This record gives sequence, C-alpha cells and structure tokens, in this order.
Amino acid sequence: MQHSETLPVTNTTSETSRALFRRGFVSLMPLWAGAIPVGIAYAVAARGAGLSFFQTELMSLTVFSAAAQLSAVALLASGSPVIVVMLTALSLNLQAFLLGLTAARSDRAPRLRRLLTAYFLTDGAFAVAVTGGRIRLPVLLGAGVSMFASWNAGTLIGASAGAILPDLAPIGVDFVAPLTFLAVLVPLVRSRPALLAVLVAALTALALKQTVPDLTVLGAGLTGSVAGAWASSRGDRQPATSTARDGAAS
Amino acid sequence: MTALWAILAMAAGLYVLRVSGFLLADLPVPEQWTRWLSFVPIATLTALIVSSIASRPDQSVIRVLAALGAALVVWRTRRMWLCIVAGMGFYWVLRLV
Repeated sequence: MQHSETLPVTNTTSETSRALFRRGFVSLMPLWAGAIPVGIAYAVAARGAGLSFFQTELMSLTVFSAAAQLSAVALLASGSPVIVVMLTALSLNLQAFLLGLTAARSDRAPRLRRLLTAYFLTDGAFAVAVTGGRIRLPVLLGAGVSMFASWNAGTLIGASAGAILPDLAPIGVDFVAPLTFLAVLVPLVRSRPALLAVLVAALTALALKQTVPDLTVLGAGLTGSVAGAWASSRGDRQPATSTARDGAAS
Repeated sequence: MTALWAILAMAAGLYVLRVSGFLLADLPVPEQWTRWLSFVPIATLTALIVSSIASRPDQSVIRVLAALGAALVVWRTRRMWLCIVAGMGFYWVLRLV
C-alpha cells in the first residue's frame, strides 16, 4: 500500500504541465468521432431553426455543451422565452458543479488554472481525466480543449454546409437531437432510483406537454430528480454505500 | 435578437456553474444537495427526449420504436455515435414499412 505506490505517483507529479496537457488532449481524441458528427448536427439544426451563422458559431464557442445547445435550438424554434432556454441549459449541466468539485478536490491547483479549466469542463473530458486515477487539472484542461476543438470543427462544417445543403427536415434531422440525449442518458441509468427518475420525468413531461408546454423540461427535470433522490436516500438505509454516485455521470 | 440574448445568458450561466465547483471545493456541501443534483441531468434528458418525440404526434409510434431500438444499442455497446446512427437507421426503415 505505501512503498510500492509512492514511486509511480512521484513520477507523475514530476511530469510537466505541458506533458499532462498533451496526455489529456490525445486521450480524448477517440471521442472526436462522436463530437464532430453531433457538432455538425447541432449546426445544421441551428441554421434550420433560423439562427445566423454568427449565432451558431458563438453558441459553440461560449456555451460549449451539446445537450444545452441542442435543447436551446429546439426551444428557440418553438418561441420559448430566454429565461426558459437558460434554465433548461443549466439544469442539463448541473453535474458540471459536481465534476468541478471532484476535480478541484483531487488537485488543488492555483486559482487561475481552476478558472481556465472550468471553461472547458465537460462530461467527456472528465471521464478521460478520471481514468488515470487521481485527476490532474492539466490533463482535464487538455482533454477539455481537445473536445472544444472537435466540437467547434463540427459546428463550423455544419454551419457552412448548412447554407449549401437543401432542407433536411423531410429526412428527419430533428430526430438526431433526442437520439443524442438518449446516448448520454442510457449509460447514466445504472440503478433503481435512476430508473425511477426516468419514469417520473417521462410521465411528468407527457402531462406538461399537453398543458403548459413551456415548462415541460424544467418541470419534469424537477419531479424526476426529486423522485430519484428520494428513492436513493431510502435505499441508503441498508448499506451505507453508493450515495450520490447512483445518478452521477462518472 | 432573442437568440443572441439566450446565447449570452446560457454562456454566463454555464460558466458560473462550471467554475463554482472548482471554487467551492474547499467548502463542505450537504450530501442531500449533491444527491439531488446527481439526478437532475437524468430527469432533464428524459424530459427533453419525451418532449421532442411528443412534438411530432404524426410520427410518434415510429419515433418511440426507433428510440427504444437505439437505447438498446447504446445500452449494449456504450457507443454514443452508434446510438445515433442506429436510431436514424431504424427510423428510416420504419418509415418505409
């Protein structure tokens, strides 16, 4: 436990920040295969929903979240108010708070480095950074910048080609967004409380869609998460294990 | 104009969210809060999927079936891109049927 593990840890600590950054950047590259096509799909959807080239690009450069951007495009297309668009984007990314908390607790880096790494924080980058054992912020930053580059490359392709391409609505491009959400959701559902959260959210969403459609996502996000948290705290009365991890991303 | 404001609001809100974890790492966070937060993305993603499929009642059966097929694919393979490709494939095949 002590001696054999001390050596390799000392070795990684002596690795320069630049080398750690490069490691993160390269480790994330397999995820480009997912980020670029989804980036293209986002940009095509955004242009289709009436956003300008500049707005489509600006959103990928500043918001940098597939789920938030795809939901924003759908909500803007249906004329939702700004506050609903923003709150939905935030509720889709609440896990970012937990990821940042975890990362900063395992690597107490200077404030400037924390502020910079936070800008590029995503689930994918965190997953890459955490596979190496203890999270190092330069690895997380490298992975984040890698994701940022591929996401914005995809956006640029989609935003430029979207102007040339004919109307893609008839072949069902609007179905790409829910499939993307599904691809993110399914691996997260690993426990009964998580499954309950899905069921309660789905039923609430169906009910709200018929009555107050503007509040569908926020309302169902609230009821589903409360149900999941309730079931998870009940389950914890038995063995005191796996608490918040029941639903957490990674 | 609404789009521009929405983008700026999302960008500001998301950065605050992303940075808050990094800056609050030294303070204790109540367990009930982290527990609840961990379920919010799951519930919100579900809501977005249901909301999107429900906005096309003319294709609801096809889309529900294609989504279930895609869910099965990603559950077995854990590959995000395969979920999208398979889902679109099922969708196009079902539309022809």
